[in-house]
Amino acid sequence: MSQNPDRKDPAQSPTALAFFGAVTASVSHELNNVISIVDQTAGLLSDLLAGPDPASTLTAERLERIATSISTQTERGVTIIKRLNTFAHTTDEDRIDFELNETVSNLAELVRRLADRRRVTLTVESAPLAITLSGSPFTFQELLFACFQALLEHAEAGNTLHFSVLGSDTVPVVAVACDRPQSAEAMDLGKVERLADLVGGRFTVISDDTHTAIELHFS
Amino acid sequence: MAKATVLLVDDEVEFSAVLADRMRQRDLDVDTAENGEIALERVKERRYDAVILDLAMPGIDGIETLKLMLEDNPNLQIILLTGRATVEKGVEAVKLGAVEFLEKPAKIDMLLEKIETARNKSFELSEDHFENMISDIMKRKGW
Repeated sequence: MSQNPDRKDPAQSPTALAFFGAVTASVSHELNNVISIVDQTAGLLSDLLAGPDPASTLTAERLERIATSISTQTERGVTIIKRLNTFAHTTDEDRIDFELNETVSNLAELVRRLADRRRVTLTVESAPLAITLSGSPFTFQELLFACFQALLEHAEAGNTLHFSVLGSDTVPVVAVACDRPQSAEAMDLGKVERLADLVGGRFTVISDDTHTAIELHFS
Repeated sequence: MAKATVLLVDDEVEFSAVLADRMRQRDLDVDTAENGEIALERVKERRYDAVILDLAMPGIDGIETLKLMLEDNPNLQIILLTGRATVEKGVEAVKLGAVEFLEKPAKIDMLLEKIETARNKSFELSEDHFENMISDIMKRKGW
């Protein structure tokens, strides 16, 4: 991936900040839900202990359920923080080697909630082998997000958005597709075009009676 | 006095379940709904003293649910409880008729206080409604 040499700092353009904001707003909302569940579960435990007969209400089965809930939510929180941390560190270097499957999968998980809110299912398919790209992983994700947004805007409840990593190390291709037909003219692809140019890639829109896909090609 | 009736609307099912459990232990009569559509059905089926509503939900979001609920029942006491608290959203919700706007995580005592206030208001409004109905009937009948 040969990056546009005019670009100085990929993480500081207004659209990059908007992208960063959209991702962190959604993720922080989810983290807040995790904390709220743990907070209420701790409150429930306190209620039971403060009750008139804790020995009979705090049964082994109930304690087990409470412990499982705290453990599940802690695991959920740790996963979210790890993903967010990985994402945040993609702004560290303007040019670096990064693995395509991991980067696509991490971004897809971070934006899953945005699809969920529209009742759109999000699926991810990795390439069988690791594919390394060189460039700004942050701008690459901004480009993926622009494709995701362009398709999500026209998606309806029940549709599926699919991220897939195709090709090989020499011809890497990433596709973002939706099971809803949409002409390229009707989609807002200005941002996709600008970002594809910035990362030194090119994009094509493939649309038939049932699907629309934005394919990103890198060399 | 009858138990206060509360509807908890949140797509985080585990959050609603634990909060409902804690409220029931405090003698409240609590139902839950995991999205706006189910919540709208619930308020048609049953009278609630308060509805605790999340803002960010799949499908019909909290603001839209709030609007639709108040269209059917303008006296419904709706408290927004959300992790996505922005001043703009709070102002919008209150302008649309929400009685409170609370941020997650919220302490249960604070929630119970707001539910009690909502319940009193709901009772006052239903008394006013009842008085107005009787007054209308008396006028129409010339009593």
